[in-house]
Amino acid sequence: MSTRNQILKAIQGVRVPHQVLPEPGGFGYDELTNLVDRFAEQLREIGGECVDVSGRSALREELERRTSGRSVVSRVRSLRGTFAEVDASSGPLLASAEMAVVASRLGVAENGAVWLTEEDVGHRVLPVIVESLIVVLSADAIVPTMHEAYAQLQSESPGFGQFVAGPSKTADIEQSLVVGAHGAKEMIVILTN
Amino acid sequence: MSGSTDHPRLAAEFLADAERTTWHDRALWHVREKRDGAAGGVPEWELLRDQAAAIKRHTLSHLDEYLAEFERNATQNGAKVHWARDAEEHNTIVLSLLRSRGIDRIVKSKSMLTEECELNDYLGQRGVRVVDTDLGEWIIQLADERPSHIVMPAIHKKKEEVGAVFHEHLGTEAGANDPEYLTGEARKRLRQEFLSATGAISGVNFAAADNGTVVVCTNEGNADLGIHLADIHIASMGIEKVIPRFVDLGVFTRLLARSATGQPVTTYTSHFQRPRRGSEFHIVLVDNGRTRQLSREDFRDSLACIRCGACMNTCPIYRRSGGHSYGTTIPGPIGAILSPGIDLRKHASLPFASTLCGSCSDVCPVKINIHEQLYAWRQVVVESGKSTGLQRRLARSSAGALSNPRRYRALGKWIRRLMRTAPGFALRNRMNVWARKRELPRAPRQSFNEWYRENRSDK
Repeated sequence: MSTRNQILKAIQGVRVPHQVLPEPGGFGYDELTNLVDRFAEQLREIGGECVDVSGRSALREELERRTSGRSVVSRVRSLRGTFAEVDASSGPLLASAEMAVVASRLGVAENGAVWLTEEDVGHRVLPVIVESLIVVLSADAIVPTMHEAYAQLQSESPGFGQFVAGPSKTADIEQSLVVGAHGAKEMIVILTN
Repeated sequence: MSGSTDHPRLAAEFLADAERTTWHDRALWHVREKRDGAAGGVPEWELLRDQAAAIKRHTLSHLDEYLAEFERNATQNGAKVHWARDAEEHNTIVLSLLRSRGIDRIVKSKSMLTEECELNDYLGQRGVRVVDTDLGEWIIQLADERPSHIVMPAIHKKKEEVGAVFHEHLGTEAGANDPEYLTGEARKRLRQEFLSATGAISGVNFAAADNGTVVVCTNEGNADLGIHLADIHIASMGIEKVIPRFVDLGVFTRLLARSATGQPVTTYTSHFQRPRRGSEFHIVLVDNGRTRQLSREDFRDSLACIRCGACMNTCPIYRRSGGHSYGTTIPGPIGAILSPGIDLRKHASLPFASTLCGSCSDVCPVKINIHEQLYAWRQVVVESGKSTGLQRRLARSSAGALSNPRRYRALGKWIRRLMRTAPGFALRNRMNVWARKRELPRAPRQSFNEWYRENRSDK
């Protein structure tokens, strides 16, 4: 008998009494106000930066200001400017990029996280290989908690997706928090209205 | 690690350095406090725990169905699913996957399961170089030690010691102890490993059966840096990690990091469904004693564990004896209820390494009744004859004293007299284990019983 069938048979043989699966669902976070404030507050607390811009030209200016003179991979069409474009065709080549500019379609207020799929970033390694990660997010794409986020995501099938909450970090050396472990050292979310 | 783990002896060694013990104690308690802060910020925290507990109990009652469903959906997504009955089969599968692709160096992100299977040693002896990329794991790998905590593997090391390990193995500055500098050096060195490794191994935090998603949570980004640059991703998964629905991740991702470190969420929560174009995605489902634990009605719920480490951070014994005193892959309270199931003789002392205070059960995000299981394991240890000679003698003499009222009263009288007339002897004699590092109370002249008879009972 294959290992697979051995294991499944062993489990069946135990006959664990049935226990009810609770209904999924959030905890009644109906209030849609203050989500932006909460998101910004959480993001800052975890070492990220949060910036508000209104309108396309303001966004373009903000992005141009931040990327000027850096080596950048941009997945955002509104960005033009004086940055050096990096060949994003392979993982190792991306290692020379200092900065990535991507757009997210979902943010979570309770923890300052943004959702990025393979389609959003092009190469899956992009968010963790650069030093600075800039994420453009529409302010009305922020949901209260992970419950609402997963409810929204469950009908999608992105192949790969990740929540990114702030810059990478570690406290593995005597509990001292160090920002910038292996992933990005800097993470900026630009909230657009 | 061979022979029996003698937790009391190993703990005594740890405790011999009182200053260091206090440092370790405070460091872990600080993490407990951060967890409390995070939990306090979620008004529905207890409801979340209830939900998570119920989801896990339900899953365990239909584990075979969910594993089959997960396999079906993951396979449909383009992943290849393997099954391993034990550590050896897991290691064999991993080796064969790597060898057949000519891979002899891999990067590995945190996986307690691969630690349990002793994968690094197995592969190392067969020509495959493994680099543990989680900073804490890398530190102890360089130092040739085992992790002492499941979330913070190097919590037992002071920064000077980390500096010394790095100096010896990496040639960094002698005497360096600045965490920023050391982390920066680790970033540079491990970057090279990420860019050159063609194979990556990860653990699995959660696996959703309804759409075959594998979830890996890290703060450092090391899992992603390894996996997305490699030609093959092998995810090692204990069979108890499966959850019914993708949306159930809402509950677990809200509980995990808050319980583990007090953060609202880990920096990276990565969801793997399809392999990256041109690469392979393999999932190894591992039993290694889990179905046996499932069959133990009293201990089945220990399989609900999501490996957050909250029980360790709060446990007064763990905090003051350190992870290495447990002699197990997973230390602390959860380790003490998982390990006796694997080797009762070897781990017989672990269920007794507890005051049964119940703090562990209090903080467990999936509401495992850890302290009750510790007590239940004690019964098993004693009934199967694996308690120590001293434990048996103490139990017999206590039973003798407690079961006979006259003997009990006489013994009490004698002890009180001894405490009053020869306090030094009462305190310092070898039989008085309880009085080590404790003062004795002042002995009253009478027992309550004597006082009551004198003052209250009807004459």
